[in-house]
Parts: sequence; C-alpha cells; structure tokens
Amino acid sequence: MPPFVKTSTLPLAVGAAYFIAAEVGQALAFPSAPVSVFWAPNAILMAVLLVSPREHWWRYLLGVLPFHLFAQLTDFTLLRVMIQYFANAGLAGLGALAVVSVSPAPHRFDRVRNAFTLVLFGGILAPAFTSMLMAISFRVFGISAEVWLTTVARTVTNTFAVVTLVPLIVHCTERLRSGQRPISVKRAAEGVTLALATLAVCLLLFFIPLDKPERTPLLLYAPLPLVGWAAMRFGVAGACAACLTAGAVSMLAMVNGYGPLTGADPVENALSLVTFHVVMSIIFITSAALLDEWRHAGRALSLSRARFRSIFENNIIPTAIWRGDMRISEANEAFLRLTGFSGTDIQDGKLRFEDFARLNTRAGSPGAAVDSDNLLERFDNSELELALRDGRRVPIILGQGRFPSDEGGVIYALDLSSFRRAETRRQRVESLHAAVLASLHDQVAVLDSRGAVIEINDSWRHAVDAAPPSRFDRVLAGENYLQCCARAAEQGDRTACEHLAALRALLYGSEDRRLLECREAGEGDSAWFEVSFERLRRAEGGTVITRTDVTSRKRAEADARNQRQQLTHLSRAAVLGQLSGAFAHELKQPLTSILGNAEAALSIIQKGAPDMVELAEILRDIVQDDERAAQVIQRLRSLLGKGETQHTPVELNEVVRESLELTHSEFITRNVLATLQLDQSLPAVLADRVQMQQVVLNLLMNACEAMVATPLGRRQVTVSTRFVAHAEAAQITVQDNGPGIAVGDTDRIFQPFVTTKTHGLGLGLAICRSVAEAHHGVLWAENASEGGATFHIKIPIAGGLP
Amino acid sequence: MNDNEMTATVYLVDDDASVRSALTRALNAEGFHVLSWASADAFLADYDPEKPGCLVADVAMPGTDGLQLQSLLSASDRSLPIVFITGNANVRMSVQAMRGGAVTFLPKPVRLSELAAAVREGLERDQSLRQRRATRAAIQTRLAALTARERQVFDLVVAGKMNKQIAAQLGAAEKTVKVHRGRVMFKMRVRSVAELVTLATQARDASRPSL
Repeated sequence: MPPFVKTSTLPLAVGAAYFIAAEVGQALAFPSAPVSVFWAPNAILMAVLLVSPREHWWRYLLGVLPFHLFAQLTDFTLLRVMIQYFANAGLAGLGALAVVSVSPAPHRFDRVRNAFTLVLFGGILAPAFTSMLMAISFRVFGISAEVWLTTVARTVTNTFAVVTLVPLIVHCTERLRSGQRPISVKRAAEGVTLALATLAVCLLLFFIPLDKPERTPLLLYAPLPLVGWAAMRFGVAGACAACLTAGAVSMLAMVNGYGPLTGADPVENALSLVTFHVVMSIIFITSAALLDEWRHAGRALSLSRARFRSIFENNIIPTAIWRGDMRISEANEAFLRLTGFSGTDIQDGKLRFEDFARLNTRAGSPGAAVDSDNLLERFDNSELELALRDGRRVPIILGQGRFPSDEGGVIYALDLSSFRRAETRRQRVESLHAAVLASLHDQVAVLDSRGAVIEINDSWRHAVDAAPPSRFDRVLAGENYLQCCARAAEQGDRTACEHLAALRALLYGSEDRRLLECREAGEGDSAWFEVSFERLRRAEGGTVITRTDVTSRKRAEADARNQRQQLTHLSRAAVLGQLSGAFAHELKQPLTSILGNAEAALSIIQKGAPDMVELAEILRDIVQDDERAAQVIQRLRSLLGKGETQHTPVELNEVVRESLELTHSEFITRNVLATLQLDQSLPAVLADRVQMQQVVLNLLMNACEAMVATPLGRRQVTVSTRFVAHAEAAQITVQDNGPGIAVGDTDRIFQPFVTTKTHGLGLGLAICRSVAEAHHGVLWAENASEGGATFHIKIPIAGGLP
Repeated sequence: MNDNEMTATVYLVDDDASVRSALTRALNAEGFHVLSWASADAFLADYDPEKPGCLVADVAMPGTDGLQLQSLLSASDRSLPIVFITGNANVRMSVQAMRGGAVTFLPKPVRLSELAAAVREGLERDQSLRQRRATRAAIQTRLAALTARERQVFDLVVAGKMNKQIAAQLGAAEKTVKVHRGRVMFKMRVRSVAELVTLATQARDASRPSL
C-alpha cells in the first residue's frame, strides 16, 4: 500500500463519520436557531484527536473540511459554512488540547480527574467559547441575529455530544487497540439486555402522542435507573452509552413532535430537553468515573496486600511485625523456623521480642536482656543473640523499620550461625595453612597473577634477612617478584633471567611447573638451591615459588660421581693388570725386532763395505717398530689415565679392533681365536672412548677366562658390532665358547662383588654396566643357543648426552 | 764357522712378521742360512728331517704353538734341536720346553750373541745327533749279520759273563761258545770285549738324544 494511501485512509474514514453525523445533526435541527439539537461531528473529531498523536491532528482537522463543505453547502452560503467549520474545528482542537495537557495518553475517563477535565474544558468551556465566537460572527456577517440563543443552543448540544460520545469512542478505540481479553458471554448478555431495555423504555415513554394525558415531563426520569445500572456495571463507557441512547431517543421524539415536554415554545422545550440530558449525563458520567476509580483503588489495594503477604511469607529472612509494646503480631515462615515458635504462639500476641533477644556476648554466657525502649535505636544493624524456644542460642544480625504513622514496625533477624560456622572453619583452615607454611623447612613464597608476593613463610623471611643486599630475590610480601627479576635480568643477572623466564611461562603461558637449580655463593662453600615454580591452582591464578636447599644432595651426587669414577679407574687398572703379561709381550715384539735389526746392522757394518740400501731398510724397520712400541705404550697410558669423562664421537669398530690388538698376546697365550664381524656402516657414537674400551676389554677378558676348561681347538671369541636402527643405537656383542652362565645368573653377575672366578673382586661387570648406563645404554648377558655366553652392550648414538 | 754351519739351515718360526724379518736379518749377518715360517703348521708341512738344521721358534703363536710343535716333531720322530724364544716366559713353559729336549729358552728381546750361540749349539747338537744316528745304523747293520745263537752270545758277553757261564746258560760246550764269540767279534769288527761293550752301549743310546 502506498504511504499516502495509508496516511489518508484514517482521515477519510473520519471525514465520512463526520459527514454522516453532520447529516444526522441537520435532520435534528433546532426549530428556530441555526444549530442542531444533537450535533455529533465535533465530538467525533475531538475523540479522534484524542486517540491519535498530536502531530497527526492537522490531517484530521483538514481532512474533515471537504466533508463539512459537502454536507453544508447544499443548504447554506460558503461564508456561513466556513465560519461553522472553524468553530467546529476550534471546539474539537481546544477540547482535545485541554484533555491532553491534563493526562498523558492513553486517555481514560474512568478517573474523576480526567472525566472532570473533559466535562469542564471539552464539554463546557470549548463549546461555549467557540459558539459565542460563531454567533458573533453570524451577527457580524448578517447571517443570524440570534446571538444568545445560538450560543446557548450550540453550547448545550455540543456539551451533550462531547460528554457522551468522546469517552465512549476513546474507550472503545483504546480497548480495541490494547487487545484486551474478550468480554465474557454473561457480561455481553447483560450489556445487550441493558441496551435493549434502555432503548425500549425510551421508545415507549418518549413517543407518547401529544394529546395523551399521561404525557408529563416526569417521564424524562424514567430511564435514569437503567442509566444508573449501566454506570454501576459498565463504568463510564456504559453510562455514556445509556445517556446517549436516552438523549438521542428523546431528542428524536421531540423533533418529531412527541416527547415528555409539554411547553408551548418548541425552542424552550428543545433547550430544556438538551440541558436536562447534559446535566444528567454529567452527573452519571462523573459518578461512573468515581465508581471506576473506587473499584480500581480497591483492586489495587487487594493486589498490593496480596503482594505484601507473598513478600512477607516467602521471604527467607526471618521477619516479624510487632505492634505496641514490642508484641509480635505476625511472623513469617522463616522466623518461625528460626525461633521454633508456632503460629499459635504468635497469634496470642503474648510473645515480646525482648523476651528472647539477648545482647550477644559471644562468650556463651547469657547476655543482658534487650531493653525494649532502646531496642530499635541501639540495636539496628547490630548483632544480637536469640534464645530459641528449645533454649539454644543463635547469633543474629538485627534489622528493623518502624511503620510510618503507625504504632509498630518490622524486625529482620538474619541467622548468623552458618556464617559463624563458615567463619570458624575458614579461620581454622587459615590457621592450619599458616601453620603448615610456617613449619615448612623450604622457603615458600606465593605470588598473585601479576607476580606480586602475597604470602611468604618464615623460612623465606629468614633467608631474605640473611641474604646479601645484592641478591635480586630478596622480596618480601607486598613487593613484586616479577619486577625484581626483570630489573636484575636487565643488569645481566643470569639466574634472574632464568627465574624471569620460568615465572613468565607460568603466569602468562600454559606451563604448570618448572624446576630450576641455582648456585648461590655464600660464606665458604657455595650453596645449591632447587627453585620450583608451581602454578597456584585457583581461579585468580598465581604461582608458588619453593626454594629447597639441595647442597648436601649435590655434594653427595658429586661424591658418588667421584667414587664411581675412581672405581671405574680401579677396575680398568685391574683389567690392565690382568693383561700385563700380554702387554709385556706386545712391547717385546717390537723390541725384539729393533734389537735384532740393530745387531744385524752392527754386524754388517763390522764386516766392512756394508750394503747401504740394506742398512737403510733396517733402519726404516727399526723406526717402524719403535713407533709400534710407542703406540702400545700410548694405549696403555690412555687406559691407565685418570682423566675426567669426556664425550667425543667414538668409532666403536675402532675401539673393538684396538681392544683386540691389546689382548692379542693374551689370546695367543690362552690359545683363543678371535673372530671379528664388524658392521662397517656403524656411525660414530658420542661416548667416552676410554670407558668404551674398558667395557670391551673387560668382556674380552671375561670371555677368555670363561674358556679355561674349553678344549684347545674350540676356544673362540666372536666380537660383532651392528647398528640398531629402530633404537638409533650401536651394539657390540661378545660371544665365547665357554660353559655359559648358570641358569638364573644372567642378571646377578652384574651385581657388585658377585664373581664366578676364583680370584677377582666381582666389580668388573658391575662397573661395565654402570658405564653403559652413564651413556644411557644397556649391558646384558644371555646364553647363546649353540653354547657359550653372549654379552651385549647397546649405546644410543647420542650416547651420554644429558 | 764350520762346514756344518754353512750347509745347515736355521728354521725360524714366528707369527710376528717384523720379528721374523729382523731375526732373519741378524742371523744372516752371523752367517747362518735362515728359512722362516709364520706358523708352526706351515713349517711342519715344509720340513724335511733329512736336512740338517736347527729350529728357532716363538712359544706363543696362534694355532699350534711352540711347545705343541715340539711334541708334534718328537711324536713323528722328526725331532731336531729347538731354540725357543718368547716374550712371555714362565717357569712352567721353560720346564716343559727343556724336558722336551730344547736347546735353550731365550726371552725376548733376545741378544744376537745369545741367539747365535744357542743356534750354534743347536746345530752342533744336530750334527752329533746325526753322527750318532749314523753310527748306530752301522752297528745295527753289523748286529743284523749275527745269527740268533751269536746274538745270544753277544748279549751275554756284553753283560759281562764268562765263557763257562755262557756255555752253562746256553747248554753248549765252552768250546762252541768260544767259536761263536770269535765270530761275533769278527762280525762286529772289534778286537776286545771292551770295544764290544762300547758298541752295545752306542746301539742302545742312539735312540735317545744325548744330554
């Protein structure tokens, strides 16, 4: 629908209504005055203005103009019609303005104030004012000389129309707009009955012919009981409708020559009739408004009472109402539950608040009685003790209020026992926490989510007191640990940097825990601390820092490391001791060659005319053998060395070859044949070369010794290496042909001081295993299926990297 | 240096190549003829007992070692004088070696003078052994020419019996015994009983190396 159609539909409808009403009004014209006895258009226009927003008023006021012209121009001159239009529009506008200025939309006339405004301004003053202006204009323009009659007649007819029609139209419109629930069948039937009765009575009584003797002005009062009924039962709208019906029917009757009035002057009769109806309708409509207001007020009161009851009864705060002398007249469920009294105790009015309220001593002894005179002044919002019906005492907080202009008031008694219990529990938990914290030997500080210290224990405090002022972590409660770390880190403190990183990871990252170790230079020896950063498991976040003195542990670890190293060295020396004969042989071979060559050379020279080529050859051999001897000594030295563990890339194949060279003579002496199966693709392993060699030598020597009882031709040791791809590890396997390991001993033999030999400490294998473990590797033994023992050592390629 | 040394061979067995070459060189310089092997088994395969010589062997060798070589040689009746050299000498080893008839037991590193002396002694021993073996062979040939009766008489004469005693033991006439005795003396190419006894002793001892 185009917007102009939408905006013009209503004004057109209104104009149509105006036109019809105007036609009706003309039909009911006054006998000798230029006005109608029932002129409804103005009232309709006013009602329309009242139910529409003020900014749309001009549409309706202008909209009715063509209809006005159309209705009037057939009978009257344009001047007269225009004067009438302005008077009508002015009436409607002034009346509406008056009502709007008194009460906001939507306008209800079931309030005395609103009804009175409508009657006074819309019904009397606006018609009177506009009618007077119109009558004067008529006189000025020579249309009619009857100023007084015109004014009065137009005023009263309009008053009647406004007073009856405006509330009716506004009421119906608002009801339609607000979409109230439909009227019940019973009420509708009553309304229809009432309307029909009113109509019937009016038609019967007001259309009695003029010559009938029972015709009397008193008949005008006949419909009044029905009008009263309408006002009582249907409020302002009902009263309006009834008044309108009575008025309209009587006027119709009068204009047609009937009616209860018997006066000789028809004008006088008409005026009297209209005036009568104006007065009656004003009385009934204002009475109906009053009735409506009373009814409304009654409803509001009972609603408010019900609400109060609900609030009072359902309140979880124990509440009681007292009247004079502190006697409790009413108490809610919560109050009865708290105190243990019953409803009947209260109803008797015997219970006085001061009887069971006591000053709270908190010590368990009964407090002083509460003085009723001072109760409200002294103890509002203070803690009291209630003596319950069963004698128990409950701490409460008392709230109170006096009723305005009334003897009495209300008391709220908030039960504090659960709060007290919670508080006691909280205090107990807190004191337990404090005690636990205080008794911790470790230094503990609790940080909030911004890194500020919120709690420290005694150990921490003492440590801070004892620490030198240069230390960055001398932080007490209230200071910001994070900032202290950041400051120290800026100045290049490495420990502070680590602390800062850890703290940030916990406070801003997702880390739950971080451990740091730091050394602190103290008097004499330096101390080692383990600092743990633990996420504080609570919604607000935070961190717990725990500093533990681990100096003794560190020392023990260092001692253990030293001892292990010494033991390893001793074990190595022992193996070399076993091999001393072999080493001597290994040395004597080159020495024998050297000596032989040297003496051969001497002999050649002594004979004269020596062959220089031969001599050079001899000397070259001597040099070579000397180097060989030096190499043997070098290997011995490195094996005997006490050097620190050093992890370097080690070719295990080379280690195996060298070990076999070292044991070469021993193997020969023992008639043992060594076989090598080396994996040439074996990568270098990060390991301590000397320790690796020690392990291999140990295993080789064990293999030799295991074969003492093996027949000469079968003494064989197989050494193999291989790359274990899935474990990223290198493996050395040493297999002998001896009797194998006794069942159940494959693990026991690695225990210290366990030996199967007649001499020996039984440390060799234990130390070999500890060497393997120090390289994150494993050493284990098994019996080969074809007989003999097999030892495997597996070392990760990354070796002993921490 | 005598002729024997010139013709005889020194057999050197040592698993260490550089030791082998150095000792070969040194013994060559001393005028010995040297052949060397890297293992006992290789030597055993090549060794011809008919050729005179002396063995210089390392005790500790992979496979068959020096002492085993010694016993293998004597077991196969090819024994020759052995000079043992070793880098890892112990008493048990040297006693076993000497009991097996070794010339000597020299610890490494070995001085050339000692080695040469030992080798010389070995070669001499080999020579005398070979001579004694030859003598015994001749005696055995003569003994083989005796009849059974003559052999009986020979044994009893060597045992120092008088003719009368022999006759009584054999149940023959003293005269007959004298005839047999004269034949024995003739066949054995001796003039006196003393010579005969010496021959008998030589025949017995030839199978043993002289100490």
